[in-house]
Amino acid sequence: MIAVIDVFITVLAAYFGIGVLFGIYFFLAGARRIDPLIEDSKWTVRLLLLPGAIATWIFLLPKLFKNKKQ
Amino acid sequence: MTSDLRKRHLIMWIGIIAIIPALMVIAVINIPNYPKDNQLSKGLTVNGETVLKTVEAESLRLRLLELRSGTFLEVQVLQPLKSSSTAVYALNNDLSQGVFIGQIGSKGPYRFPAAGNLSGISVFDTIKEEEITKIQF
Amino acid sequence: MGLNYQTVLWNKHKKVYDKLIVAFMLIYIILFAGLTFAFNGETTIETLIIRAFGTLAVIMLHIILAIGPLSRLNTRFLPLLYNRRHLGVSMFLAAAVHGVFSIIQFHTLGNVNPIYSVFTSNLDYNSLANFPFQVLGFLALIILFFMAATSHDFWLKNLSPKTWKRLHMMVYLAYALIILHVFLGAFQQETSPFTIGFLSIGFVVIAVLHLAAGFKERRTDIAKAEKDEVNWLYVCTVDEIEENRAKIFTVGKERVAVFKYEGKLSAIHNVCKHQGGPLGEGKIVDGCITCPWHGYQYLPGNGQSPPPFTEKVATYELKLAADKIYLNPEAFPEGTEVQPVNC
Repeated sequence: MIAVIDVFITVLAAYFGIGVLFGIYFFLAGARRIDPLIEDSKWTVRLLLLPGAIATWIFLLPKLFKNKKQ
Repeated sequence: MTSDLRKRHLIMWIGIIAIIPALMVIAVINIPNYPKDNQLSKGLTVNGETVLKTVEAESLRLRLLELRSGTFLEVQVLQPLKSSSTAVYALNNDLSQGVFIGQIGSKGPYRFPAAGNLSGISVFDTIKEEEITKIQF
Repeated sequence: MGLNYQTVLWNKHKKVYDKLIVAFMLIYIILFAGLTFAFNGETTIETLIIRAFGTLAVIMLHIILAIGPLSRLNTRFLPLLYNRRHLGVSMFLAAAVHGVFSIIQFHTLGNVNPIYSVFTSNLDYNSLANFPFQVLGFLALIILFFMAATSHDFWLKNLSPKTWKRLHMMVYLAYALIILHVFLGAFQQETSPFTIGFLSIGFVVIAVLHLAAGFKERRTDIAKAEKDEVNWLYVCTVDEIEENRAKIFTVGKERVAVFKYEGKLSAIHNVCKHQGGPLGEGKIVDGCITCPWHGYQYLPGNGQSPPPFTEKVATYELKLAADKIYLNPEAFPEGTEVQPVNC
């Protein structure tokens, strides 16, 4: 059981760790790469979106690469 | 909503209705692990009480009582306990934790059937799963 | 709908709604504290906070789960649906207070990482009676965090409505985890029949509401319409539709809303592009079909949102035979102009 818990906690910590790093990038630059409409919004909007970016980076990262290619 | 989404909602709810009540019932049946009250013996009389041992420590007053119906441990909680779920275990001679005696909670007296040669108790926080204190007669 | 993003899209109604949420939460916490100190004076402040916010979150979750089916069973509940997301975020905050205080009280005193301690302080995973119930609450809290964090419209658009909806349907999993968290956990310490009764009644009410709404919608979805000689489907008579309102009609797997307004009839796909709201349950306001859920608007003639907005839904062709309305089951591409039928 301990082994399962260890793996789960490590994955969870890694997921949110990467999430926080991605969140910093999202706040500074990534948000407008993902959705240009954010350009016209205040920085407080990006701050409010930050937890969402930390939580869903795994869905956003592929989108970011796709947008970069275009 | 689209019809697929509606269908998915309905299927999920049928699933929830099939599983959750069963788990609820099993949980309720299994609750009396160590409930607060049912190890307290009913019908104890004050008459004919003999106090075998007594000790007071850590805001708890312990009395080992000899009654007509057997030997009982009385735990008087003098100050509110810090832990929200607290169990009392018998203390073995080597001071390790012995058999489970009962659960204590808010301020007041608790009585549990106990062995006449009880040497002390271990007070245990069942949520943190750690010993709070040991008290010896 | 919007051309840029706002932190919170507040309007007069939403402000009233939010004030009611805050007032409800405050009154509940104060009442809970008052009653606790009156009847159980020795309770510590930490235990009080943990219990007050935990029960508050459970009550709010029940209200949230009841709003969806209630508004499908009776349109009078639609105003509650309008701002359900703020209720959801508030519920998460209450649950988070409960979770954080529980972790601080039960798991920060040892020398292991508190989160690790949540999972390992009790390893009785095989026992039901002594199950580590805090793990269930922790997992539910993570799900609720994902939902609260992605409640902004930005996420609906950028995660794609499909992913977003899937993520948010996990509320049912969270609900199941929370019920078990309470049944296996809180009851281990407080086996009050009142709490068991309350949660059981709550579950029955929520389940019955969802089933009733689900089966009602199912009946609409499987209803078969009669066809005319060119395979157009009979919808209803003109009189059966109120002015500025619609009749919802099922075509195969799709629903179509047939609107009557200013002596004309138009048909568009029933599903709003924003969050899948039922357009046919909305009204025509200022010449636009207005979604009852969040107020997105479409022109009845072409299914397009009025400029500068860009949302589009599919349109359908109608014809009248005497006063009977018939619909061509083949949808036009989204945003196609269709001449309204005069009635």
